[in-house]
Amino acid sequence: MSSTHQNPAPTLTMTQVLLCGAMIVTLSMGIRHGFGLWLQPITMDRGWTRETFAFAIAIQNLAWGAAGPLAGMLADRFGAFRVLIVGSVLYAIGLVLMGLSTSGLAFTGSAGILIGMAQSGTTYAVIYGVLGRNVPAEKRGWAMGVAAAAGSFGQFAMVPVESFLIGYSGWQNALFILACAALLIIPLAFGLKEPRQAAAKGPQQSIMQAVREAFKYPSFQLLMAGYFVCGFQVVFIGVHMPSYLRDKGLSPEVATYALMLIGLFNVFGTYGAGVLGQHFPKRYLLSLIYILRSVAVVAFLWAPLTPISVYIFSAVMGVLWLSTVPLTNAVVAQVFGVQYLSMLSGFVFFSHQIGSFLGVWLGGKLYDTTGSYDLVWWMVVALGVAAALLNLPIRETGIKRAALAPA
Amino acid sequence: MSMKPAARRALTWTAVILALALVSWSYMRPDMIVDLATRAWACF
Repeated sequence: MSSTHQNPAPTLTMTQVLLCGAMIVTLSMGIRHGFGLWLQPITMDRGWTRETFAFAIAIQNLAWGAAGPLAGMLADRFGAFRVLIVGSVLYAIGLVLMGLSTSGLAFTGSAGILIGMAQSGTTYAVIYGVLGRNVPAEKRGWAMGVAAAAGSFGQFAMVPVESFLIGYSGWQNALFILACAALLIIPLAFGLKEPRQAAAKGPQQSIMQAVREAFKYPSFQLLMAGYFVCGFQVVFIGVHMPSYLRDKGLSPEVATYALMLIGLFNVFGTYGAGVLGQHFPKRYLLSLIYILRSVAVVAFLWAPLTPISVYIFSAVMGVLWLSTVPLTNAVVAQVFGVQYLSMLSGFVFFSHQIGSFLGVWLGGKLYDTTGSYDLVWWMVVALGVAAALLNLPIRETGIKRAALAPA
Repeated sequence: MSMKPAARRALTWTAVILALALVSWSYMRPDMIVDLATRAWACF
């Protein structure tokens, strides 16, 4: 006997979940996005090298990914509400300690590990679990698109706010103010408090069964591989493109506007991906996104480099930037159901973050070795093509399960 | 008074576009935004 997964009945209204979830990811994604603005004031004030700062941020990305499956597991088991509260408090403590750290080790512990863990408890994976359980399947892709767009908006909007705070109150006070902003997640988390699940009727899948099932399922492995490429491409471009443009003789203003355009078009891209995911097979959309990224990079490298070509590339990449997020998570929900959605999204995101780490690190390493970014740009192209092919055979239908033994 | 769905949609998109335009403006002219924020703050 076999069965496909069954989704529990929603317990919160869609508007409430969307509003609170969107505001939480706006804060959690937005606060971290402007950390680059602290590089100069902190390193100058503390007498550190840029490597000290960069190392802490790299550790933050890894900690975010590594803690993701655990945060997701806890959210699926004990409710997103509790994980969000802990995440919010960790975020605030991390930001305060980031401002008070006087050694590189303390800075890595606060800005790196604490904030990385906080992000794993306050970003997409945890929010998507609640969304998945409380939004009807036919609107889930759209709802995930809205939440992703909110996170994108947070990234776009918080940079000037943080720049203003640093200029207005100093870098340390700016971090303390952001710590207060991170605590705003607590009241918002009340909007995502799900009542205790009624005693499940019939046998339930255990966490370990869910993990084993996912990792043995080829489509899950393909999704993880694709998401790894996403992390590699996005973070390499986000971190290294300003230096690439400067090397090619363009003014720093061009790089600023390029990042602004990526942020602006990212909002439309993530929302659009969610909407399109409701109407077309998500695997084809994911393939299209990856192949278009490769085409955009090839065109960018071959076209004469001018501010206009940079702006066009940035707008196109912006549309494709985080548009993989709602689609990838919607496929996970569609295949495995929503019972362990946060945990499984956490695993997929871990793969994304390993890609992110390698994108930043290899970008710097190969630049130092070869004296240019050319090799990494072509790696971005090749990986995009590989990810496009890997996404094609993904099966989006609900997994067929053998009857489970009573719990 | 309840709004028609089309009107609500139009209002939502207008708010989104305005917010994005304001943020875009703050990237291009940060001094103007700081000035605006200072004036708004002074009202309190």
